[in-house]
Amino acid sequence: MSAVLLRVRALSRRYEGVTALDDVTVTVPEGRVALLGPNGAGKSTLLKCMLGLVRPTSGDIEVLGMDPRRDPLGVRARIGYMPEDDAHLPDLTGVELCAYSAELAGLPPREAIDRAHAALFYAGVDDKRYLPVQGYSTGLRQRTKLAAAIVHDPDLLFLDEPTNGLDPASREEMLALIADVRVRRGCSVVLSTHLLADVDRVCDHVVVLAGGRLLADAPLAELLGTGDGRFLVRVKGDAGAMPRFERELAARGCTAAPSGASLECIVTPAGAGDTDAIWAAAAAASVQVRHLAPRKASLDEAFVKLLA
Amino acid sequence: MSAMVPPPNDRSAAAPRGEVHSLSYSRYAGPRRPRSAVPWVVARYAWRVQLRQRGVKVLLLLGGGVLAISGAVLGFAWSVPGMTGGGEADPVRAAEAQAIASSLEAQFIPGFLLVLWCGAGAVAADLNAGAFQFHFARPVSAQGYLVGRVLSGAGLAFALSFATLAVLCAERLAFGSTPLRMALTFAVGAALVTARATLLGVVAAGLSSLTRRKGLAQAMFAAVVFASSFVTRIVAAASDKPWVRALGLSGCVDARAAQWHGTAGLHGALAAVPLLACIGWGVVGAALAWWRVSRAEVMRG
Repeated sequence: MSAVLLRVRALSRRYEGVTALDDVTVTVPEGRVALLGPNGAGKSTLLKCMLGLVRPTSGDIEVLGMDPRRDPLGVRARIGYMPEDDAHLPDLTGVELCAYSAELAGLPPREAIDRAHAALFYAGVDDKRYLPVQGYSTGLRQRTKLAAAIVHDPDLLFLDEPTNGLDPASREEMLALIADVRVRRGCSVVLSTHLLADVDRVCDHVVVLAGGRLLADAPLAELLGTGDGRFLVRVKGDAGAMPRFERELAARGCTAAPSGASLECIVTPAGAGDTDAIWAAAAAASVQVRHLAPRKASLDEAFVKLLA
Repeated sequence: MSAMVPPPNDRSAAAPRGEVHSLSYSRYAGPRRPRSAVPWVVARYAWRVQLRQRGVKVLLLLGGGVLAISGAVLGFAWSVPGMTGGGEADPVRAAEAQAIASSLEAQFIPGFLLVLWCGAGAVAADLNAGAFQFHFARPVSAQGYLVGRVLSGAGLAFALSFATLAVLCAERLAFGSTPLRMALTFAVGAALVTARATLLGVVAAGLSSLTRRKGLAQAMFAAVVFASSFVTRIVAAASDKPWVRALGLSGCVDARAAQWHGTAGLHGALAAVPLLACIGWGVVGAALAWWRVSRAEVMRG
């Protein structure tokens, strides 16, 4: 059983007339955790509470076994934070920014500069590391921010919209890096994002907030469920194969709905879990079944369902 | 078969056998420095950036020129008996006081301009660039950050004044002061030079934290320094109350230097005015900066 990364009990935070967090209780294990929610859900306030930048109005919070209210600097020393906004110092180069970040976390100057180069290399920042950060492209800035967040070897990484503004190839590389940080470095990741596809790709636990309240705190697989009784079927055949197959399915009391692909459909069997009718319909329609699997809800569907 | 001799620049040959040097990102298990080092880190990186700027290089050259001229002029004056301090009961002490006063006065304009350039817009620029988020998401306290910003804002101005003091004190040693007296003069001078630079740095940081616009912060700082100086001089002259002059941001340290020499002309309760003014400026600047920095929105959203 994995260790607890974050434990929050009855946490509330109220600003003047506004409840940003309302009685939130969460226990998150080590790993890659997504923090999801619409704007104003309380994600940033929860992050601020975890970093010890904001004191909760009530409740308890524990990050990596430490209380950020008692020792905020101690917690921050073990956390790497990659903000969504640009957060750099004017006129510092990429190497200097990362070395500065490492030295602020207590690394000696020599080690800081060595690790700055290593972290930038790891994040894929090439020779441009010797140029001032304000001249970087969006993708390069995101990579530099990631390098600055991991340079001091944190146990936990907070990533706020890390793929914002990236082109598809850069986004893929960033997601691969995030996955690698956990797998090869043993660093847990909390990913705050609006992009559910990113969550689906790299996270194994999801915390969903809305209006300051907790909607879900569960492993991703559990949130997506084991299926809704329907099956995704892909067949192989001639041009008329799919209409024939659909007619045969209807004749056996099954319902077929289009899935988006030409030789694919979503089948609701007449009886729960009954695949015999699907096989029989395929045989009758002279089509070859190439794929038959219970259809799981997408994260988008699960998220919309939660918010509803 | 002859033995292979590695070339002298082959670093792999020098490494112990079997040891693999990895340049890849890996876990760090080495030592970490205490958090008290954070202000120095903040200041050191700011100095690195400042020393790359053309304006700072020009101001340092100006300060160096002032140092050279002060050293040459005073050195010449001290080398000619009776040229300075002729009317004083103790001409050696008068010359020592002159060394301190010159360190403060001669470097005031270059020092002020350096603080204006380096310190007066520093916190505003950080607010604008999102650097608060950068600093405070790391193990950096508001105090550590502010001390670092004051150090970086006033460090170069302090270095100029301190170098001038050191040169003039060395010259005094060559022209008749005893090492003991010179050590005392140097200590007093160093304290006053530190006080001047600290006050300028603290007030600059305080005013800088009031806005996100660097230019506006610099304008406010220049206005406060000159307005406080001119207004107190005019009021002191018009009302014939010399203690009013000691209320200014630059005047309070000058008055402390004059008190050490015994020429301030402040007696009784008024003798405390320069020290209280120094403390007042420092407290107001620090409180302003602390109030703003500790309440700043660190993470947007």
